[in-house]
Amino acid sequence: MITKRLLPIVLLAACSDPPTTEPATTPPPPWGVPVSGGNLLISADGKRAVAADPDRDRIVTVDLASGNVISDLALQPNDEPGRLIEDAAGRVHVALRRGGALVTIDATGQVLGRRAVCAEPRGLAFDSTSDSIHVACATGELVTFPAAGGDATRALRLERDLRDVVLINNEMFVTRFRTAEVLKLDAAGAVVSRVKPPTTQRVDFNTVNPETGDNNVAANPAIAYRAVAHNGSLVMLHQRQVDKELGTVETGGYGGGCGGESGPVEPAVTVRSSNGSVRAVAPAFFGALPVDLAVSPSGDQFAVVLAGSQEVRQLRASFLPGEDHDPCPFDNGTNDAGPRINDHLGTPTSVAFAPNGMLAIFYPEVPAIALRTQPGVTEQIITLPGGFGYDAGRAMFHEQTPVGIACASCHPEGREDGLVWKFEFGSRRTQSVAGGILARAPYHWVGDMNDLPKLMNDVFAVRMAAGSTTNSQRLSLGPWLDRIPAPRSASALDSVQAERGRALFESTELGCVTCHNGAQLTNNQRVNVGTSGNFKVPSLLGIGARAPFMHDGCAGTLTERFTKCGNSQLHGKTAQLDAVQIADLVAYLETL
Amino acid sequence: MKRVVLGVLLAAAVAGCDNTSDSCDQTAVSKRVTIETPTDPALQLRVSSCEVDIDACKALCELALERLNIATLGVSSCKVGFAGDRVLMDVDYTPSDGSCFFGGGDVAFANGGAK
Repeated sequence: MITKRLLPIVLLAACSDPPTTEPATTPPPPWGVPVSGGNLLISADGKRAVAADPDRDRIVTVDLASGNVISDLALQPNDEPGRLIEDAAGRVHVALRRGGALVTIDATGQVLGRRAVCAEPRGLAFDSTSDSIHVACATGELVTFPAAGGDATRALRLERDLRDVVLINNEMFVTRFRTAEVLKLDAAGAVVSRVKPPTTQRVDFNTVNPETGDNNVAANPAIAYRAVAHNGSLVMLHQRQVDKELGTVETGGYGGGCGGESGPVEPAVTVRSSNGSVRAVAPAFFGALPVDLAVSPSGDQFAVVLAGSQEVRQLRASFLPGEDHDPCPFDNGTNDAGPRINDHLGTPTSVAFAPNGMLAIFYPEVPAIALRTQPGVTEQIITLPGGFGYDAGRAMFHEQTPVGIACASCHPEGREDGLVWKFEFGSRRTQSVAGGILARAPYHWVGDMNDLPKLMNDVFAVRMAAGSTTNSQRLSLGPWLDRIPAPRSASALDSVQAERGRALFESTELGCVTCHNGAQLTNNQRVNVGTSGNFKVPSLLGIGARAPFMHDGCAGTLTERFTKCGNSQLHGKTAQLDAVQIADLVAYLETL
Repeated sequence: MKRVVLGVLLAAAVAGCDNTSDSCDQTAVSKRVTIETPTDPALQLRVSSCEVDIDACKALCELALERLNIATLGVSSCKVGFAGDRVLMDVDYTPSDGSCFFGGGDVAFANGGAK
C-alpha cells in the first residue's frame, strides 16, 4: 500500500515533469464578508447584469449578449455593496451596507453620484410615481431620495432591524430582518399595521410535550433574508426556529426533527396577501441559508438561493398556494422546475430573472454569473473581474452540515438571530460573533470554551455533525470573524439625554464599567450578577441591535434589563434609578 | 461541452513517464490526473482554492474524478503539485462499484473540460 501511494510521487520526481510547488499549508489573509444575499440585478431591457460584489467592494456591469464586462467600478474599501434597484431612466442604485451610502451608476457603469444615507443601508425600492428611491436601514431609518440625484426628501426614524422595502399598488411595506415582521406604512410614513409570519408546528421525536404527550414543537418565524412583490402580495423568504431542545454532548445534537436530517432552523416562505392576511406556505424546499429570492417576469417561476448547500432551486409558482399543515414535511423536489442547480462555482448568493425568463446566478468566489434560459442547463458562465477569492473560515461558516444548518443559520451575516434556544442546562440567547471576537475569549455564556478551535470542535464538528474541522479552518475562522464589525448605531435622537446616560454608566455609583470596560466593553470575566450562576460578561458593542438581553433573553428591551430582569444590585447598582435615569442610560447604550 | 482528453494525450501532456503508476487491488485505485490551467471556472475555483489551502485539495480531486465520470466511494488520498500552468494530482480512491473498471491509464484535462 505504501508503495502504491508513493510511486506516483517518485515517478513524478524521476521523470521529465517540471518541479512542482505544493499547496499552501498556512492560510492566506482573510477574504470576504458574510453572505447577505440579493446582490444581482438584470436591467429592465434585459441587456445588462449588474453585480454588487461585497467581497471585493466592486460593482460590475456586464453586457449579457456578449458576456463582456462593460464596467468594473471599484468602491471604497469596506463599502460592502448590497441591494440594487433600477429606476425608470435605467440608472442603477446600490446600497453600500457598510459604506453608509447610496451610489448611483448609469447604463455604462459610470458613477453619477454617491449620497450618504445612514449607518447601515439595506433594502431599496424604486417609486415610479414620485421617481424616488426608498432606502431601509438596519439602524432604523427609512430615507427617500430623488432618483435623478439630490438630497434626501424624507428621512423617517422607524425602528431598528429594517431589511427590505417593497411597494405594492402604491402601498409601502418594510420588513424586519430578525423578527421577520412586515410593517405597512401610510403615505406619511407612519406604521399602520404590523404582521408576523404564523408560527407553525413540527414534529421532533426527541421532544415530548408534558401537557399533550405529543411530539409537536413550534416553528417560529425568524431571519427574513428577502422580500419581493408577486401578484399584489408580498412574498418573504425567511427562516424558522424549530423550538426544540438542542443536545450538546452527542454527535448531531442539533439535529433530529422528524428523524431525518432536519435541524433546528428551516427555510420558509410566508405570503402577505393584499387583504392583509399572512399565510405560511407549505415547505417547498430545504437547505441552509435561504439568502435570496427572485420571481420570473411571468410570475410562474421562483428562484431561491440556498447558500449553505451551494444550490439554487428553481421552483414552479404553484407551490405558493400550499398551506403549511404538515408537521413533518419532506423535500421531495416536486416543486422544482428542473434539477437542483449546483454549478460547482462555490457559494451562490444572488439570483435574478431577465425579462425573457433567463435566470442569472451570482457566484462571488470565482467570481462569475451563470446564465440559464431553460431549467436544468447552464448555457453560459461569465467570469467577472476581481480575481478568485477564498477563505477557509468563511467557507466553513456558510457550510451546511448534516443536520441541515450552517454556522450562519444562527449567526446570520456574522451577527446573531435574536433567538433564545433550549438546552439541557437551560435557555441561552444566541451570542453575536461580530465586533472583534478574538478579543473576547473565553467563549459561550459560561466561558467554558477557551478558544475558537475548541468551540468549533464542540459545536461545528460534534453538535452540528460536521465530523471534524481542518487545520485551515481552525486557523482561518477566527481571523475571518474578527473582521466583522459590531452593529452600528443610529445617531442619538437626543444627544443630551445620551450624554446623561453616559455619565451614569461611567459613574462609580452604578459601577457598570467595573465589568463593561475596555475597547470591547467587557473584562471577559465570569461574574454572578444574580441570574442563577456565573456568566461571561458580554461585550456591549452594538448592544442596541441585540435584543433580547441577558443570557436567557429575559429582557426584551434594554429598559426591561433594568426593570423586568437583571435588576439585582449584583448587576451594577441600578435599583435606585428612576424612569428618567433608566431612559438616559438606555439612550446611551443605544449609541454603543 | 466537456472536453476531456484521455490516455494518449496524456503521453504528450505529462511526458508519458508514469504509465505504471496506476494500480488496483479491487478496493482502491491510484491515478495520476493532470489539468492544464487556466481551466473552466468550476475546476479553476477548486484549483485556486487548493493552491492556497492544502485542505481544499480533496475537493479538487473529487471534482476532477467526477469530470472523468468516475464514481467513487471516496477519495482516500489526494496529493497535488503545481508546475507552471499544470496541476498534477495523484489520487487514491475507491470506485463505487468496487472494481477497477476505471483503473486504466492516467488522464489529463485539456482546458479542464470547459463547457
